[in-house]
Amino acid sequence: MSRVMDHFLQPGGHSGSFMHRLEPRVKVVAIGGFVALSTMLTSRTGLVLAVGFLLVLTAAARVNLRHLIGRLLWLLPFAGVMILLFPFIIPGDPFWRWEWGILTLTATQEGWQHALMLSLRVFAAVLALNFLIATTGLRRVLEALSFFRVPAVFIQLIEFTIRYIYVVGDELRRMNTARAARGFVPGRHLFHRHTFRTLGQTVAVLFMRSWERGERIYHAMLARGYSGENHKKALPPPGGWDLAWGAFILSVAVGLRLFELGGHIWLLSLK
Amino acid sequence: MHIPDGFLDPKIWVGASAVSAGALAAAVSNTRKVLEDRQVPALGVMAAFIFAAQMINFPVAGGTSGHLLGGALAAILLGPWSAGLILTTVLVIQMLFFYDGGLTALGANVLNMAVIAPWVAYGTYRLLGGLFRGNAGRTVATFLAAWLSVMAAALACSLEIAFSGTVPLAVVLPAMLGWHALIGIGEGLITVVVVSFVSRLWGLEQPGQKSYAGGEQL
Repeated sequence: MSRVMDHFLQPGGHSGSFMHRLEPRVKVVAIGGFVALSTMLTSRTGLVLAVGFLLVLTAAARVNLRHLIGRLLWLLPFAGVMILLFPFIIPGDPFWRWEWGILTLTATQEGWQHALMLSLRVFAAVLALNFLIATTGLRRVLEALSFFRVPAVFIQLIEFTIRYIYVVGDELRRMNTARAARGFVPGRHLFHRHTFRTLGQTVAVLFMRSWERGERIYHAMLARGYSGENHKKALPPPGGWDLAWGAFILSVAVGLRLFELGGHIWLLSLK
Repeated sequence: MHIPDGFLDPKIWVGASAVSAGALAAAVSNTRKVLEDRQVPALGVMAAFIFAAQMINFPVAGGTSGHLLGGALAAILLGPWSAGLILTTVLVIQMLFFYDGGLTALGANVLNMAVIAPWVAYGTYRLLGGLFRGNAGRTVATFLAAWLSVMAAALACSLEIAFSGTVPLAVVLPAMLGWHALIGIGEGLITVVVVSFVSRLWGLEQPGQKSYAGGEQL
């Protein structure tokens, strides 16, 4: 787990690339807009172009590829299941049929295209978010969000939670080790009473320890002069170069969306 | 149950985000009233707890496993408003770092898992806890609260996906509800153990009888 946690704290990849230096607020708006627009794309061409553009951005930022590939591998089983499943559940033109007694399986062209489209959308969104986090780092993303009037309590909660995920996660790992050392082997199904009592007690003890830790942390914070106020950092206005890049990223997304709408009108006029 | 980007229609995700934003604004002001300046430290550590608790897998059947959602657990022990903030924080972190759930779908995921699930759990728990007294009554109330919270979140998730035209309702609804009816049993069993353990420590005899230091007035 701690390997994953390391990515919370520092931006990945080559910190010297100009993508890393781009103003965080501009990047947040541009990437947010890009994701929103690219999830509305319906054509395969549009989505492939969006994915291609994001890959170019990622390459330009010289993001650590091993790290990115590791994250994208998580998506493969998900996309694979959809592509295997959707041809059978979305109605449309059958391209494959299998009959066995009363059982008939029909795979449709539409289903497979639908699954591919959804997978491409998810792929584009993950690439975009990965680009944002890897080149900006959590801290500066949160600063940007706070500038956009996300209530301070959310920003503080996210920071605080990430800090204590390590602590509570370590606690849980110790408890898992202890449980295994006592010879606990989880059962195989829902009706294994012993398994659920043991796991429930693990969660319960973890709950109490976390709660008491929260109290201790609060008192320690009070002792250091915590008053619940937050200090908002004033950010300088973004430069022209930053705005130009942001506008460029957004305009690619808008362009792809318009291209699709235009494409439809063009197709309709042919009919 | 985390909906990824691209599965929801703009109408649905914008609508769900608006509802979630309203619910969260209410949650912020309600927890601030009760928790005051311990709002961030207390809720932050509990969010880290839910995050860790969601990593505990329990067996379902035939080698498959599920994991805790934690909505009912947080709502019963800490109150529905606190549960909403805690689960939202967990969802944002999962979205940003684990690609569980999409950016545009965040509002819908918050609505299902951080608003609907805790409130259904809390409502069921209070209602049934008032009807049946005693330990057995509380066990039944807790179990049903947890089971129903998982089912309600799965139902909302299916409806959002189906009304977006992504997957036909006749396919997504039985699949989601069928699987989560099983997951919900695991959620219920674990929640029962945790709630009875913690109430014993905190000296809560009946739901709603006593509030404990720092929590919402239950």
